[in-house]
Formats: sequence, C-alpha cells, structure tokens
Amino acid sequence: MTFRSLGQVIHVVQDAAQPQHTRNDSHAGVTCPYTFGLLGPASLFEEYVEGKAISGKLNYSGYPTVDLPKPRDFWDTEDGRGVAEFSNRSFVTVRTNFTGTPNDVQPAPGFPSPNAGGARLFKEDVQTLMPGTTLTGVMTFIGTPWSDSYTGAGGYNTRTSTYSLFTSDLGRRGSPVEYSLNTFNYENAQQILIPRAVGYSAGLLNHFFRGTLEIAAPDRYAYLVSPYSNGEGTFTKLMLKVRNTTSGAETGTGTLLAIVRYRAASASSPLLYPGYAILREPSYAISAPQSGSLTRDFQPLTFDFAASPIPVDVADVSVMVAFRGPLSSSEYTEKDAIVFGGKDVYEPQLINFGNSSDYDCYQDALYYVVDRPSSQRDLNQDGRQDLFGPVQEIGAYVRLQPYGPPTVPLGAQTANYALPGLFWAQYGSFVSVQDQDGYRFEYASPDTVDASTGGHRSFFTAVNLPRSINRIVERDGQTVHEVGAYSAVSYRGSSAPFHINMVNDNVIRSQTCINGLPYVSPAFTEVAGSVPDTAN
Amino acid sequence: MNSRALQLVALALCAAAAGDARARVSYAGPGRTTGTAVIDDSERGMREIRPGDVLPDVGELREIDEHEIVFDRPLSDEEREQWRAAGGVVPDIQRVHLYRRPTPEDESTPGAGAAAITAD
Repeated sequence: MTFRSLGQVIHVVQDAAQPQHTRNDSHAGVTCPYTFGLLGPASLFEEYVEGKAISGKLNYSGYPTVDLPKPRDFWDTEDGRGVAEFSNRSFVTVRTNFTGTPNDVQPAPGFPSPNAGGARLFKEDVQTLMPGTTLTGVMTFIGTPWSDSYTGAGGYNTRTSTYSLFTSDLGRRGSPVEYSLNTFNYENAQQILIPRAVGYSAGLLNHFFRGTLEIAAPDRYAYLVSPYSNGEGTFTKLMLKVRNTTSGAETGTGTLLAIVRYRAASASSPLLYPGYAILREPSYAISAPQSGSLTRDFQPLTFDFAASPIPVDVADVSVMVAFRGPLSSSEYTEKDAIVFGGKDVYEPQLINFGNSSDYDCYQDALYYVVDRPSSQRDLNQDGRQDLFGPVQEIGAYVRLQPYGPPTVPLGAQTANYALPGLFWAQYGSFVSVQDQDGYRFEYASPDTVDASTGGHRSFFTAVNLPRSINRIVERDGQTVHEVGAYSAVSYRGSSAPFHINMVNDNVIRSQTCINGLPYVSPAFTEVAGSVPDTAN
Repeated sequence: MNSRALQLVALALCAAAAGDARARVSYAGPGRTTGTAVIDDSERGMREIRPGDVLPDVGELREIDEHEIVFDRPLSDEEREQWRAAGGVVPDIQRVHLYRRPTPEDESTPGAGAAAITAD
C-alpha cells in the first residue's frame, strides 16, 4: 500500500508537468451530456505525448534530479521552483491560449504568464515543417521565453502558440481572434516538460527515501558468527556499526531493527561445495526490534535474531538496518520517518581449526607421539630429542581481522569464537560472515603445554584467506551465478574448505609429512565452542 | 636428553580449485607477461593463460588480478533444468572466481615459525 500510494503521488507530480492541469483546463474527455461539458474534451497534448511514448520516441533525460526540502515543494514553492509553477507560467493550453490581436497579444485571463513580454513571431513554411506534404503556405508561431527557477536556466520556446487560419484576417478587422495549438506546439512543449516530469518524480522518490544510514563492519570484523557442529548451525546475533547519513536531518529515539536477506540452497551445501549449490529465491530474517537513535558517528549495534535464526548453510547474504521514528531538520519534522540502509556482505564461510600436535615428522616420516616414551624420541640416538608433542592448548581463540598487523591481542574477550581448550586430535568449527575481499584469520592459544617436555609457551599464527562469494546478480540483461571456486576437503575426518592446524614445525618442513597428515588416525573429534557475548 | 626448542606452527589446508574431478585448476599468480595468469592444471601442469582462453569445464578467462582470476561459463541446458527443477532462480552464466592460494602471515609468537599453506 505504501508503494502504491507513493506511485500515485508521483503520478500527480507528473500531472503537474502537463500545463492543462496547472491552468485549470479541463480535459477529461468525458462526453456524458450530464457533465455539461465541464469536464472538457480529451487532451490532444496527452494523446500526442502518449503516441510518442508508445513508439519509444520520448526523451526522458536531461533534467537533474530535483532536491527540495518538503513534499509540497515539488509542486509549488511560491517562488517558482515547483513543477506546477513552471508549467503554469511557461505554456498556454487550448482554453487558456493567448488573447488580443496579433499586434497586441495578451495573456489568457487569470494567467499572466506567458505573455507578450519577449514574445516574437516565427513564420515557417509548411513544406519545411512537414517534408513531403502537398500543402503549401506559411504557419505563424508565437514564441515566448521561459525561465526555470529551480535550475536558474532559461530558454526560448519558438512555438508556444500558433496563429489560426483566421487570426490574420480577424486581426486586421480588429475583431477578437483565436489562437490555436497543434502538434508543432506540443512537440516543443513536451521536449521541455517531459525531462522535468522525470526529474521532479525522481526527486520526490529520493525525498521519500531520504532517510539513509550507512552500515560498516563491527570492530570485531565479523557480522555473523556461529558454531558449526554436526553440519548445523544458526546465526542468532548480528553485529555491525551504523551511522545516520540523512542529508541535514537527525533522528530522535525510535525503533531499530535489522533484516538479513539470504538464499537457501539445494543440491549441495553452499558452505562445502558452493559451486554446485542451487540457490533459491531470497528469504528474509528479521531481528527483534530495539529502541535507539542514530548518530553521525558510527555506533556499534547488536541485533537479536534468536526468534528468527539465520541458517549458516546459505548464500547471497545482505544485511539491512531500518530505523523508524522521528526525523528532524531545520525545514521539517516527521514523527514517523523511515531511515534505511543496507550492505551486500560476503557469504558464510566455514573454517575448522585444530590441534595436530600428536604427530611429529622426522626425515620425511610421520610419527605418532602420544604416550611415546622419551627413549623412543631420540631417533638418531645423538642424545637430542627429535620428536615432540603432543601439545595441549589451554584456551583456543580465533578471530577475523583486516590484512595487516593484529589490531588487538587475541584472547577470550577479543575472539570471534572461543574454545576452552584443545587437546591433540581435537578441533573447533565455526562459520562467519564478513565484508572484505580478503581477510586475516588469527588463531591463538595463550598457554600450551608440551606433554613430552612439560614446557609451556603461547601459540599464535595468522593466515590470509579469501572471501566466500556465492550470489545471483543481473548483468547486461543476464542472470549470473557468481561463485568462488573452492570446495571442502577432508582433514582427519573433518570436512571444510579451510583447515588451520597447529602442528609441530618439523611437519611443515617436509612436503611428504604435510601430504600425509590429513589422512592419519585418529580422526579429529570436535570441541564445542562459543561466540563471546561481549560488545562488538 | 638434550632437546631443541619446540616450535608450533599452523598448517593451513585449503581447496581453491576449479574444474571437475578429472581436471582441477588452481591459480598460482600473475604471469611474467603482463595480462597473463599462471595456473596449475592437474592435467597439463603449470602454464600461462590470458583473457579469452577457454578451459574445459571452467569457462572463458575474463579477468585477472593479484588475488584471483575470473571465468565465465554459460550453463548447459541440463544444468538450467536442474536449477529449474530445484526451484532455484535459473542463471544464464556461472561466473567463477578462482582465488589465488592463501598466503601465511609472517609474524607469529617467538619461537614459532610461519604457517605453511598447502592446497588440495
């Protein structure tokens, strides 16, 4: 209903660019005798323009999108900037045409403009006007200047009105004469008026949607984070930053809510094999409403989707935030305005991270080191320990960051996802949504204990990862499925596109050991983690 | 028994590759010649390709940058029917972004080396 009403209001703006509407020249075209002709004959101007529109010969462009502070200004500002004022003052119509004699052209009664000020006669040969016609003779047009108070531009319409067949003869006798309008007048008028109808309509549409906000990633970088367990997970919390970008207007306290648009999929999991996922029509999840206002600076917000959880195994995700409440500027106050903004983020991405310290590598061979006695760790019998581990992580934290050095130390309070700890052959799994082409994945444990030495140390590493893209876009008239080319791989029995694992460093010195590690026993077991419930 | 210091590092396993099970293609980086890309083709090994080249089952190379190469492939009638039957919106084209293999960061805790990356 809202958008239908908006369309109807815009129709009225477009009507105001038709001079018969703004010069009280009835043109309903209703022939019922009971109307006594009060509703007027059909408009030849509208018929002419419609014919051009149907044949695709109208030019709609060339006028800027109008920006005015109040809805009524688009019609009438009292200083000439409204479209109704322009069409009223710059054109004549069939029943508000010029009066007076040719030597003393007068404006129509009640319509002071256009008038004789700046008016000139233009005589044009019919053969020139209508190439190929058998008609002969000269047509006389009355031209008048026009002035656009919105843009400040001016021009000259050389065919505002036309002498009728009888104008000259009647004028010579001093008798009242009639001026006429024809397709030549209508052609000139529509060239001036149609682009204005478009510019004012677009302006009103923009005015309706003038309440705008900008969305940015939260300090914690990920908009959505969820544990991923046994192939399932849901996002129940959206974190982001928002600021008001409405031109010249501030919000009061109102209601904020977030909308997440996504596409569910069939045939394949978008998390595991995005290239084979068949994306459905969009679905929408709406957060619980919350009270608040918008500020000019970004402010962090967290939206609760517990009642409308978003599946993690989806694609083509975008997030939107809507504010409903008071919006005030120096020129208007609206009690129930809408301020809206959205962002197309990338798709949910599954990452497994785990502890593979139960294996070490020596001379291109993997050795299982759990419960391995010290006597079997010096493989070359040189008196030095060759095999290390396993290692227990006391606390395991992961976080997404922009490329570059760490922005904050990674710990329980700054993680996107946290595990109480990881023993060897254990892993954590989570899904996140972010908005950058690439990002840095950090993995840390503040305290690790090597079972073979009892030594403690912290662990930190980072890997640059690409975004996940999987969306439907329209481009050059074609529907395009845009997707990142990656797929899940198995690592010690767990499946994900990305596996980041803590290993003994000898492992990565040997390609043979690297290649063998994904297939060793025992299979990984999953450890449940959590999304820290702290500010974003 | 003496021991060297234990070092812990990350091993990242990722699968950025396009194509079917027979011929998998991964992006190794921009080529030496401007406007070319080096790919690792499981059937033909490392080679340079340029925009307009067509790889079977992957598509026509359209864009190259530091981080990814992009292919366009029209969907077959069979694929379109699969999308239609599954109730999905039916694309005309599949645009495939083939990411360059992820890279490790240099910094890590003292005593720990950089992460190693391996691709499937």
